[in-house]
Amino acid sequence: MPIIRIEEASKQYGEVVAISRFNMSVKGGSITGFVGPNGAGKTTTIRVVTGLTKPDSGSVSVFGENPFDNVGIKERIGYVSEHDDLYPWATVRESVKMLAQISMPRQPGLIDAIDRAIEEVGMTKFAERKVSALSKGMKQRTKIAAALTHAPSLLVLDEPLSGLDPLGRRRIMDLLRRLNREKQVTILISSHVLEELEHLASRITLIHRGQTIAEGDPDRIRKLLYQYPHEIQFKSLAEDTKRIASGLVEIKGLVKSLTFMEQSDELLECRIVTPQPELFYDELVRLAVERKAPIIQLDTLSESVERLFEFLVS
Amino acid sequence: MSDSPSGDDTYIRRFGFRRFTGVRQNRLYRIIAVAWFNLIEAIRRSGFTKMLLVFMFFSILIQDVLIIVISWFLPFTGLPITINELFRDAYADSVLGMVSLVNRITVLELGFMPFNISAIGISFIWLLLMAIVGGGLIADDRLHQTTEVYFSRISRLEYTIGKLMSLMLFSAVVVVLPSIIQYFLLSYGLETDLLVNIDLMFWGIGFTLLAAFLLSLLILALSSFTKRRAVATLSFFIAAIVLSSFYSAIGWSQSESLILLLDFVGAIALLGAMALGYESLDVNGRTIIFNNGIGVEGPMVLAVVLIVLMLGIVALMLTLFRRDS
Repeated sequence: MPIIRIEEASKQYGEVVAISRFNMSVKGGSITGFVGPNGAGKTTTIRVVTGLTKPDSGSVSVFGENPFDNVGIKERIGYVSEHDDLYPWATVRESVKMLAQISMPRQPGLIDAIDRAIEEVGMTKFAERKVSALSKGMKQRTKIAAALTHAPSLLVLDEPLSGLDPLGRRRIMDLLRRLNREKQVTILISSHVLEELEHLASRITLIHRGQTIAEGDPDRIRKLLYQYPHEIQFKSLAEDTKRIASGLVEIKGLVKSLTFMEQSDELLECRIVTPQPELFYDELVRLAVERKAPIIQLDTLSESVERLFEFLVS
Repeated sequence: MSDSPSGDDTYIRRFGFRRFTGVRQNRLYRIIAVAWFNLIEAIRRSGFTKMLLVFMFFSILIQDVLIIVISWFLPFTGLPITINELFRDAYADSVLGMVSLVNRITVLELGFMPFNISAIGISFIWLLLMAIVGGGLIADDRLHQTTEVYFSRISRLEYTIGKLMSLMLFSAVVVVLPSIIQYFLLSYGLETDLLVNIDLMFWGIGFTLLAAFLLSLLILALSSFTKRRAVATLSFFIAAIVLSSFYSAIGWSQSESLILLLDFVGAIALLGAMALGYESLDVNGRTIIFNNGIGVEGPMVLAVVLIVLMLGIVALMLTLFRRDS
């Protein structure tokens, strides 16, 4: 039995379906990434797992029990929400202390546990600083510290990396990795960017419109996503662009659509949609070398997460 | 929750799940932790609250000094009642005055009662403090989305009771404790036997606690409806003042004493008087008979208090206990 098991869970807010017959399981000791575009149902699922909300139908079990309003289960979960849910007037230490006191009032070693948690997330230097004066990354680390004071077995984080700079993101990822490796904390983390989680999570679940659309290790998910037709553009001298493009079109199944866009009298840009991006890049380089047609500029046009997920659903 | 190893548990631990080793605290400790934290934070954050508390402390001090001074120097000879009856009436009047916003509950036998001179000020400051402290208790959590943080650790019921308890603790210091002190001071001043009237002290404690509970519930219900503490604070305070003043402004004749029932805060005081066995009270110079069939009937007062209590509970349930909250 996995630590988290959701079976056929559905939840609706008025007319809006948040999750629909949703299934998911999380094994103990793993880091599970939970990826989907905005409005996919990630937060609802996390709220269901942490017992903050109850599904309209289906079943949810965490540590083998229904988590809704279940204090026994809450004692084992550390939850970091997507909001800046800290009192702005409180200091880092006070914020952590508040939750620690609620979770384990009168427990010997409470102050040590608070200091340890603050140290764990590297916030000792800023412990007396007010939350209102913290950066986004520091606030996230404070929230994680508050979630760690009661030594949870399961840490659930709702988009903890969103809005962070690369350094802040890396610090949090390193921290989570360490918690998982050294303290065997099972981690469920959500994001709307796959790249954020593929180097962190051992397993990834893709969710869209409240349903699981893919599940597996990051390699499998990456391969799956690679099947998505990539839109790539390259620019060269007009003649060179045409020579390379004609070579690409000759390869069966490589080019789905092709458009030329004149840049100037001399330059020509070519936009290609390909279902095989890996092969495309190999062939592009080969043709450029063979036909002695240097490429001036090469870009992958970024696609919206929503379109990517629409493709996966289809 | 049992930690005894079961098949599932063993499986889970094999994959890294660590058994919970912390000391589980019982519900009461968690509730007290919520209450204490919220109380301290509410007082610590606001300079105005601290100032009001200091002002209230001096109001109580003045009232206590007055009690002793008046008891010593008033010529009590030739009174239509005994000293013990005077003590009971005076104490009841003083305690009722702590809750009643306007000075209108006065003991009939004397025609006047000097013991609640500063109690009017106390009731005013208490209501203001309750509005300021209680207004933000849930509204602030909703604004900063910290309700979710609480609910991730404790149950909704613990959260609600914790918030309620923080206001109760606050009231315990601000009115319950002074009401007990006044019992001893007045008894000392009038030289009455402490034990003979001990029931009155318990009544004082019970009444102030009940009033604190009802007012706390009302302000919390208002606070749970909004994300702006100012809205909850002002709506509670304005409603209390406007409704209390309604009777003074309009209720000029005996037949219109029903208007008094609009005043919820006053209704709590009337209820307290009824609990003590009073059959009538003098309100702003007019006698209100509880059971004469034409005025403020006892059951009506009780109904008003119960309706507000019920509305408060329903409001809290609606906002805090719905499944999506």
